[in-house]
Amino acid sequence: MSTADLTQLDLFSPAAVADPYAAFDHLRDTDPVHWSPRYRSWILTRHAEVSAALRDPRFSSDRITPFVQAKLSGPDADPDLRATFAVLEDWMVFKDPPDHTRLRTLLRTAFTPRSVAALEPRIRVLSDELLDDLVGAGQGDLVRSYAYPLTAAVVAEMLGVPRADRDLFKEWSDAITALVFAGLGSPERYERATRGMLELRDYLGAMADRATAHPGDDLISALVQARDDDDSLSHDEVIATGVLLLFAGHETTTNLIGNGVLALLQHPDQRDRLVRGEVGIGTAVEEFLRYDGPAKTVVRQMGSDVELDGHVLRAGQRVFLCPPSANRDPAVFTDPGMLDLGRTDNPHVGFGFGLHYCLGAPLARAEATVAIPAVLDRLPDLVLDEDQELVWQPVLLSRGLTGLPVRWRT
Amino acid sequence: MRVTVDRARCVGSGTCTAIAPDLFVLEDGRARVLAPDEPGARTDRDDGRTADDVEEAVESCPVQAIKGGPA
Repeated sequence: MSTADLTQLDLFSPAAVADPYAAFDHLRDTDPVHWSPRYRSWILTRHAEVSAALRDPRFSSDRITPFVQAKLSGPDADPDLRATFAVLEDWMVFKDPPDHTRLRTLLRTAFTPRSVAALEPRIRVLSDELLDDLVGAGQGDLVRSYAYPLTAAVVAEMLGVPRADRDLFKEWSDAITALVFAGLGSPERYERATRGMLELRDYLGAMADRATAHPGDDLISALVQARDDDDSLSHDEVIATGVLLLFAGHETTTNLIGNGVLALLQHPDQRDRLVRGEVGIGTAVEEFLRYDGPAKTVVRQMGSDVELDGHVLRAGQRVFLCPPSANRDPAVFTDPGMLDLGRTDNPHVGFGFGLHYCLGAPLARAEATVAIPAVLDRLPDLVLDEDQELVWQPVLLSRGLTGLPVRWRT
Repeated sequence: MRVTVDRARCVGSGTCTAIAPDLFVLEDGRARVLAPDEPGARTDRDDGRTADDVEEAVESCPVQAIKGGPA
């Protein structure tokens, strides 16, 4: 790709979906603050600009409200779509202070390193149960049958969803993922996403009502209590936050585990270091986040004009921040394309940076720390199933496999 | 009450500044401890409230960049 060809940059091409790193390397080298006519967005690919933008309030997170006002406030707007976006509008990830601070503060205590440490034994039990079911099969899909149900079960338990309803939750989560991660959308897919969102909204509404009458020690009950105690949260925000937690706690952690196991299977030398105990799993998980983490693009909207590297980013323009590219910036990382599970100087932005730094980071770390070694431990001689192709999700915001086909010795 | 922020570790999540805006401030996207004589800063730090706030900040920091304890 020459510089002129950059105008043709297609992040959805099959090659770029399978391996976005080549395109990111090229952008970072040739045009690190790039205006993409195709996406009508700026694309930032260097560590310096990505991390600076993540902590700069002029790069606003509130990009749903302007969209709703522009596209969904007219008399012809589809009411279901409007209702769906009404839920998204209440997500703290799409808020700037002070609303962001208020919503985040309410959830803070649930995600402290100490609260999460208390969940670890439970994560271990859930992980073991899933592996018990798999171990005799000799082959399977570690995304569909392990990472995905595990992370769903953890977040469902935190929210207080009864076990019997977990599969429903998974369905809805799938549908919403399609919407939020901005995939290649067909009208049917959009419709399914909208329906999933509204069903989930109603389900969580009923849960909130039950929690009002009979509070438990789950997160929905805690949110309801915050709503009733000091009016710090509206009923709609309780539901929207429940949807956000399900979604954010599920999809991204699935991909951290899936991409992490894949990286190990593709780098047997690194896997041996981990199995032999030469590197700690904590350090290794940070490297999984850097090397091939779940967040592909973070979207911001300019709140005011900002000059950056000789360009002016105008108020109202959209900006794509690319953590995977920042995480392989040779200005910051030695041998950035190499997986080094012992890497200690690792200021990756896989969880973001600044006010929106992933609230669930301690939970994601805990889940990956339990789930990845458990797979190596329980499924002997684990290898990729070379007969099946690896398929990556054709979405812009996230980096994850649709499945991870593997074989092991029984 | 003694409290420090490891600025190299800090990721600027704003957790500590939300807990105690008169003890911590975000500067260039990372937190630091406000000195007692700075504008708006808490001057008396030997009370139980400060001990509670510091403990909460230490526990809540997502990257464990805050250390604190009795002076």
